[in-house]
Amino acid sequence: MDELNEEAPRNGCHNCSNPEIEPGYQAPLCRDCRKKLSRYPVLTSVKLAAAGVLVLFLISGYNFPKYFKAGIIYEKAIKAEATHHYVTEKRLLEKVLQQFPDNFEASEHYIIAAFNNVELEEADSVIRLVAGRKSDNVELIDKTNNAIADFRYYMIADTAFAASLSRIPIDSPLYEQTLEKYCNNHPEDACANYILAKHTYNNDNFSRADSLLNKLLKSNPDFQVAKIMLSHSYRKEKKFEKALQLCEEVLQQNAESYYALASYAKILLAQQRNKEALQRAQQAYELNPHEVMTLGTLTLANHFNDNIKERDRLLKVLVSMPGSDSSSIADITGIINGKITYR
Amino acid sequence: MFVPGILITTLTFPGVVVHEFAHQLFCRLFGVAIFEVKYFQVDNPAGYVIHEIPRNPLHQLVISIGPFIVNSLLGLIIAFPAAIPVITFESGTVFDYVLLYLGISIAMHAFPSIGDAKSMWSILWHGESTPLWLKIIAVPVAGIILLGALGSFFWLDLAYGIFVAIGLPKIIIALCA
Repeated sequence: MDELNEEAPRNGCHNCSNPEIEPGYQAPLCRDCRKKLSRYPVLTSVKLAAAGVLVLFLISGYNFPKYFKAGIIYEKAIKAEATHHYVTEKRLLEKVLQQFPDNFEASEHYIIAAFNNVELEEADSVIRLVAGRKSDNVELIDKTNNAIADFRYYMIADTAFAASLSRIPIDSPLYEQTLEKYCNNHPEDACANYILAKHTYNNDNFSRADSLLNKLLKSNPDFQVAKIMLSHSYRKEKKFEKALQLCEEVLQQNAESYYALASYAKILLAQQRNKEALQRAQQAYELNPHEVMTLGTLTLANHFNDNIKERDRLLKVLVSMPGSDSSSIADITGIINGKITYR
Repeated sequence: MFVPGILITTLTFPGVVVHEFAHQLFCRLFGVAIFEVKYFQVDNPAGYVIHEIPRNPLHQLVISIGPFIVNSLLGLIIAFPAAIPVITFESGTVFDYVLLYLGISIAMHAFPSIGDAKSMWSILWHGESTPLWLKIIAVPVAGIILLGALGSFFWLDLAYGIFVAIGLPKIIIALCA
């Protein structure tokens, strides 16, 4: 940008010689010439280029609302991950991946969310899609790899042993003996040790289950499912504060862990804190209404809060729910009928 | 690696055109006579607008920093619809990449040139009709312009262009979420 700084001529406007030059300016111009000169024409080539850019802009802008919306959903998902709200994160990322199924980073975040929600099949389906792909986002890849490493909690390391164990009837003494022997030789196998603890818990040997789970959690402090199992065991032993503490720990790992919330509700019911229990059970159910545990817990919470109509409605849903096992239903109906003492 | 400034300027010529257009636009808005406009040339300077000295010194300040406002805004607006598909979702089309190039090119030429700073300085600082408050404002503005011009040696202009065209859309989306 340069300025013209001219001496005032003797004969009026520099451009048209009009004697009435506009005062206050160094360049001697009349009002009309100044106005005309200020409207210096824009080159046609510049106008045409601007029109071309406008066309490109409109083409790109056509899809803009869609991308903008997806971008906001994606950012919300990232924020949810930062605050450990993994159910929300996963729901949001499902929408993003529906639109951009090949997006690497959204897929990686989805894997993190699914693992934290212990939804292994869903995580696995996405892992297959991103396997072998490269990215510069080292931090995200590390985070995803850490999440994927949690697979060790849900798969026995020795697959041959896992296959042979699956062939032994679970209620035979050989099952426990075989599992115990393997666990003694493989204390690092978190999954096998968890199965042994769960088996012990299912046989009502709570003190031994406590001991096995505490040992397991010492070397695997982020093993959510083992914490929930230990909280169940503590509840059965009426160690309610310890049980609640474990649920709190899981909720710190995943603020939307419906397992932890449902377990929390069950402990509160055992403590006869019915209203609080109903609130927690409702939270768990809203996070995952298709889970037997959340539906069963809400049914019980309604039972102990004397919401008979709602309890019966939920029980009907539970009975017709695919995947609901007969023993869970029998336990709940037993508690409702007074045949099983819950507290 | 040393890349001659003239090469960068040539590669990002749309930004130079918009830069000069911004000077021209503010001259027109303030009714300041324009005598010549060169939108782009492969030379130094790459573009210029020759206009008269405005009657109001504040108009001189705005004409000088006009490209900062226009180039930044236009760079952001043009790049915004393209930045999300390209950067966030890696699913941009050729059109999106062209728009992103244009957005970066335009935004990186937002900084007023040393020539802009010099003319602004001579008119505002030495001008008899310039009020004191405007002289005070002119000092940091001229300083920032000079820093920006010096920073272009360290690719500050390109960094700014990328920030406006890619960084800002991401920040805006994050704030909206």
